[in-house]
Amino acid sequence: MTPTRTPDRFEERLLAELRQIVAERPAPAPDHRARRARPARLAAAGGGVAVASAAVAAVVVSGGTAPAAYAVDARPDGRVVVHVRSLRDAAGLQRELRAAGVPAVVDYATTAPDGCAAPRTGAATSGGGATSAGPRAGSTSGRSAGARGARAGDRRDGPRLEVGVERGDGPRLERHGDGPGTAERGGPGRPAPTKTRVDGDGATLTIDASAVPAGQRVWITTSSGRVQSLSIAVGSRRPAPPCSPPEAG
Amino acid sequence: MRPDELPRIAHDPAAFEAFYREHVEAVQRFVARRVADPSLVADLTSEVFLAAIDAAPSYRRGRGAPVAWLFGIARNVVSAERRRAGRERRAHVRFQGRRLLDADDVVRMQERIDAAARARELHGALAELPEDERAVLELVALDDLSPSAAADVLGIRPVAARVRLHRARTRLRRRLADAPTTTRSMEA
Repeated sequence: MTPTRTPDRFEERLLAELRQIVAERPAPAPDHRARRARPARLAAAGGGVAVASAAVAAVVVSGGTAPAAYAVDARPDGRVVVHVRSLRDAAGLQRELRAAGVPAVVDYATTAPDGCAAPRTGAATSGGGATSAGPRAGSTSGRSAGARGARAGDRRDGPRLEVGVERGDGPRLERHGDGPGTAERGGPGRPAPTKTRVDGDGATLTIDASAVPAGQRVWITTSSGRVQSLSIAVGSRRPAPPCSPPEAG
Repeated sequence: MRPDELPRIAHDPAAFEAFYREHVEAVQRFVARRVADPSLVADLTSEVFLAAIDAAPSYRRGRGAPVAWLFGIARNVVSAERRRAGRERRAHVRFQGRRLLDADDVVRMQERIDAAARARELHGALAELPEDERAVLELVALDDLSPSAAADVLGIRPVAARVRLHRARTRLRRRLADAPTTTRSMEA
């Protein structure tokens, strides 16, 4: 592998990006598709509530006879469609998504009270697209200073649409999981890498992994611990859920 | 890189770099034999390596040499691009290798593309062959692989590749009887 000519600069830049992607990938799982519940490490890191829900998930899954909590379908066009029926086996779903090439983090833990974000008045999140409704009043991060966002349809009984402006990444359209509907996320000039549809049977998430910017992750989280509030976000940090998850819907 | 080391490229940056440096030129040429736009060559080159990173953990030695495996991925990426281009005119921009291009890179990319002009002409001429025959002929005539290496890329037995190659050549010769200029580039 002695290069006989100076590599193009394009090749070097591409190599640098790809190396970074490789470095961020998880080490190979010893056994994929184990039906045994394995509490997600990230869930455990989320605090007491997280540990509790992971334990509940373990109990439910080890029952064994319940229908599959999720189905992952890698389409020939490169998109990955996930149908989630119940919030069990986050680690298994994460593993399958990563095997399908999606840099996913699945965390069904509802965030501890001091980690949520109260309704936003227009402050932007940083970190490239974390979902959050409302100002980060309870946030300890102090990252909330930013451009003003516009919000429409902020009702408790229907979808909420929100446009926030983020540093360097353009506006994003967001919807929070408080009722049936469809949400697409993306910035200008870039297709939405993810899409969510909630129906009576659960939530269907469509992910175009190739449209996820390098180094960012696809976060699958829930604000209320119910499938109907499942949300999907693209960013480098875990999105903060709203403090009071909407109950109507 | 030894075949048994290949799965490591998915999570070991140093192993990936060795693999990348070994094959990046071949992948760019492979793409340039099929696509004439520098930006698209850059996009597809990055996609091929991204797909290789994703697929590496499931690589099996029976699947052939790493380069054959990689060309198989490149074939899939380029055909997916064709299907997509026909369907939605790249509404889904993939991992954008093109944003890494500067003006000098485009010039070099263009040279690579120009050098592959006749290959693309041949690639176009193959369009009407049945897919299984076309795939073998493409890899042998366009990418200069041996029939057994082409069999590795396609995951078929070498004897099947030879049979398809023979049929493809016969069919093509018959079809090109009226078009001597294309026949010449075929012999090249």
